[in-house]
Amino acid sequence: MSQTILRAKDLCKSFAHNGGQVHVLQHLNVEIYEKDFTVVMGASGSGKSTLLYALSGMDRATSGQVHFNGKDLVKMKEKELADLRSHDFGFIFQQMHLISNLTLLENITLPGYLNKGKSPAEVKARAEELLKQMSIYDVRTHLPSQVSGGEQQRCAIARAVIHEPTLLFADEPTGALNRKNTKEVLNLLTDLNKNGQSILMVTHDLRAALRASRILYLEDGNVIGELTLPPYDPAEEKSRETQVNAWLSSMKW
Amino acid sequence: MDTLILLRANMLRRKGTFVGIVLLMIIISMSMTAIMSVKTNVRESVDEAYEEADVADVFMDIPTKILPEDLLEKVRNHPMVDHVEVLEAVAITQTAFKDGQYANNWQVLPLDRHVVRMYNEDLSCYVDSIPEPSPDGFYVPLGIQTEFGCELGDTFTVKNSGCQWDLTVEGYIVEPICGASTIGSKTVYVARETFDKMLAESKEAEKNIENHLSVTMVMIYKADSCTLSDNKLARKLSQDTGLESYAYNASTRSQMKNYTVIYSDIVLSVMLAFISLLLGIVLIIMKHTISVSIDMNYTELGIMKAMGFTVKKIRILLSLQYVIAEAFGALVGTILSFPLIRALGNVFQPITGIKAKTNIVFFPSFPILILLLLMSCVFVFLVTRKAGQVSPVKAITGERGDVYFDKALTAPISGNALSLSLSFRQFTSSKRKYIAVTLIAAMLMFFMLTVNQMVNVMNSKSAMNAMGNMLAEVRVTDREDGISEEKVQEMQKIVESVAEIDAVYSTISQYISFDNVTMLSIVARDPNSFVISKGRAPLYDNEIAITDIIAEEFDLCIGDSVHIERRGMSGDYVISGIFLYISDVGHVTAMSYDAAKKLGTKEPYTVEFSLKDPKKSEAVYDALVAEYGDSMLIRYSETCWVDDTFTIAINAMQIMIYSFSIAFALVVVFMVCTKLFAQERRDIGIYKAVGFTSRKLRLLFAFRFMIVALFGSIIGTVLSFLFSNRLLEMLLRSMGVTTLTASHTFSSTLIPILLLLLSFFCFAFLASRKVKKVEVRELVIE
Repeated sequence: MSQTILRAKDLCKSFAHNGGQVHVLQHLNVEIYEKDFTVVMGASGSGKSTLLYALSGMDRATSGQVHFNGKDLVKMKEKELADLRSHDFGFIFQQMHLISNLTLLENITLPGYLNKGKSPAEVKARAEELLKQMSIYDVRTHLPSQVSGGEQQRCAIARAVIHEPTLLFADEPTGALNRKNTKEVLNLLTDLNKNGQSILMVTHDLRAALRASRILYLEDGNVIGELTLPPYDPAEEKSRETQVNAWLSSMKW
Repeated sequence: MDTLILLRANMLRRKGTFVGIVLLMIIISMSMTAIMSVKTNVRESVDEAYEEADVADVFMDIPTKILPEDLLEKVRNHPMVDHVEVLEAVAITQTAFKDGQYANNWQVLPLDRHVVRMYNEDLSCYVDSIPEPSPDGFYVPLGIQTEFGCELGDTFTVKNSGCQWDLTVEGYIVEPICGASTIGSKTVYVARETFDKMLAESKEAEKNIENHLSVTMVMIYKADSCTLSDNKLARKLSQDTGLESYAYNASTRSQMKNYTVIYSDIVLSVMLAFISLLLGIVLIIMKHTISVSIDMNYTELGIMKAMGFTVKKIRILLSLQYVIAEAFGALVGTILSFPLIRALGNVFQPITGIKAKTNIVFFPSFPILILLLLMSCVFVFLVTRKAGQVSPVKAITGERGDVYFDKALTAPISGNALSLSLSFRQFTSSKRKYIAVTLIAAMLMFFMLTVNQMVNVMNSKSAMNAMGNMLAEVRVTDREDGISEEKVQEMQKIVESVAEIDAVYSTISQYISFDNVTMLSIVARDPNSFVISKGRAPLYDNEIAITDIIAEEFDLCIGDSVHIERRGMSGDYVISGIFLYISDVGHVTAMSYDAAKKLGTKEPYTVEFSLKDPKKSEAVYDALVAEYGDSMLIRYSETCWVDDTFTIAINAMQIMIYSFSIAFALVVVFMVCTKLFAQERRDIGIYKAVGFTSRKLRLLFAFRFMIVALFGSIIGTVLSFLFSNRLLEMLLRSMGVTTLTASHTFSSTLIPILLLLLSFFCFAFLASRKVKKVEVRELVIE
């Protein structure tokens, strides 16, 4: 059994809406394990993204605890959360969210520079290595607006892992991509996971879910099901798809 | 109705922007109304004081012993003269006050019909009636209080050769002709009985002492039929009678009015020029804001077009928002100008000697404000033409024009100085966004440096001397016998034994008739001590130097010949050069002692020593007093008697310009920062997501604005180096300054730069406080 790296206990998140309260997460308990490729699925409005943001410290839970390295994210101050993001967590957004006036290379190096563990030269070397790995080295001096959506997302992935985070969060990373780009991005994430990167990804895309080693199903703000899978093998994709589909059907997806 | 609803909604939604515009307009209208009102109030108060005191059109002070009665009679009978008032006065050439001895040019008169206003004890208003002073008391104009710092009850010992009287200050009166601190000559008033006693003693002394000065004041009133201006009348009378050439002081009503208000006019003109510049800044910031607003509200504007709003209607709607904000700011500013009018008027009271009115002057400030508002309406309407390019289809589909990022001249980000390099990158990659702010910073810097330069000129002995002012720390005067060349050399040796001498000025000032116009003439034993800007010094006894202003007014150039008269003696002199001199608003001539001798000028009676180290002036004074203290009047001042009042007014102006610059920087930075914040909200979320703290992001904003201020400062400094001198020469020409020699000093350049950088940095840091409120979850698409 892998070691737990992130644990949420009794997690609640509510939003004010039309004078009342909408309870998106309701006393949720979950653990994320080291080197796992965990995927969170669920119907629209089930609280997938809210869970991801609460677990990553990007948003504060209304109540409950999120433990990482013995510390509760819910109680952390802004600076501690910023440190966590620049050292331990990486984040990939659905809409890429690259800084539009920085080149791809600069977008990647930026969080690396914030991390004091490496010298600027080391960060740059690592960024160039990632650019090559993501096959966007040739467009490294381009601005985000000058490259394709797939290239932007690959750049976003490189930015998310430049500081070698303990846990990589991904919020529907293929949601804005076409079929070809989706496959490329998923392959990259799978490769990263094979190399030991822990990943927690939210998706409603079955093809993305197939890459997971563990799938959590969310409904009404709580985890109602869990499926553990062997490491992803492209040769066995068909049978894996059948298994996941069957499980999702049992979850009434 | 639809326009009104949208107008109200828009103004409420973007209240930050409109509050900024209102604040800027408050500053502008408040200061413009106050400056114009004070300028008019000062002039009107002076005019009223002249009317109340029934001041003559032409007046002159003539030594009684040489008063030519026949010429005076000619003046009386001149067809352009209504009547002539002749008053015998007691001349005062020296005073002792507290521990100091001073050479003066005062006249004592009995309290008469010309004195109609007297201040109360705290100088806050005038008293209803003026009592007769006590036998030992006298009334003095406010200029004396400003010069000596005297208080009611203080006693002056006033002297003329062979005579001496103790007089106690019993009140401050308005003496419109020469009551201003800018005018050297002063008239003081005593009781009739005291005056008769002083005049009798003075006449007695005159019999025994050759150098005893007695004075007759001649006041000439223009006939109703005379259509000439007072200056032209003075010239006509000089041509027809020659009386003026006997006067040691001669002037006209308009000249003296001009001397009275000259400093206030200069200071207020500089401030008005600054306010005009601020108005330019408001237009720049409005252009920037409108342009950014159209970009940011592209979708809304497109939807409005799709709903049937015409481009014209949209432009009117956009323009109205800004014009309403401007008009509101102008109105509030005008109301708020009342206290400023009072405060500014009080600053000039010690200079003019006359209490300025505190009225708000609606003409011309109100029509100018309305004109400015109309002009800005047109300007704003022109700027909104960008709204015409909005496409409803693009707006509704979310498709916009290409996002512009300037790749030229961008700088890479560096891991070693991340905040600074990232700020610089943010600035360089969207330079167009910062053009307006850079321009504003440049304009503010230009004006701050220009004012500093003006202050440098006024406070720098070397700058003033380079402009021909002949400032020196130690002054020796012997009006009775004059100071011979041998004596000057003797003194020079004594001074050299104590301190290093920078320059020695052995001079005498006198009034001459220059082509029938009375004019100050500076006579120097060494004509090379004059600062010559063209040609050469008047070395020979038939040569004269004139100022640029005289050359222009009389259409004269080097080599021309002019006719000079003084007390019945005359001669033709050749103009050898143009010289610089700040006195009598540039109406000054210069000649050598040899040339002046032909006009009956006595030995120069003043010797001044300019020292390389002003701190040694007291030691030099002590050494000279030990040798000549009994026979001569010796004074010293480390600051060379630079007029404190004017320095105070200049410093007040400097403070006001600095304060307004900082206030403007504050409002402009807040306005631009708010817009930038709205534009960059998504980026802020991304920065936070990758690990930037709010504080670090606010520092990025602050550094970025500091970089903008730095570029603006560089441009402003270059502009100041190129144009400040010219601007100041233009503004100070009325003071007689035609060539400005002051340069920027390291500290006077660096301090405003640092101040502007710091202001931009701090204000941007404060303005970006909303960064804290940006949540990373705003990046989430549910």
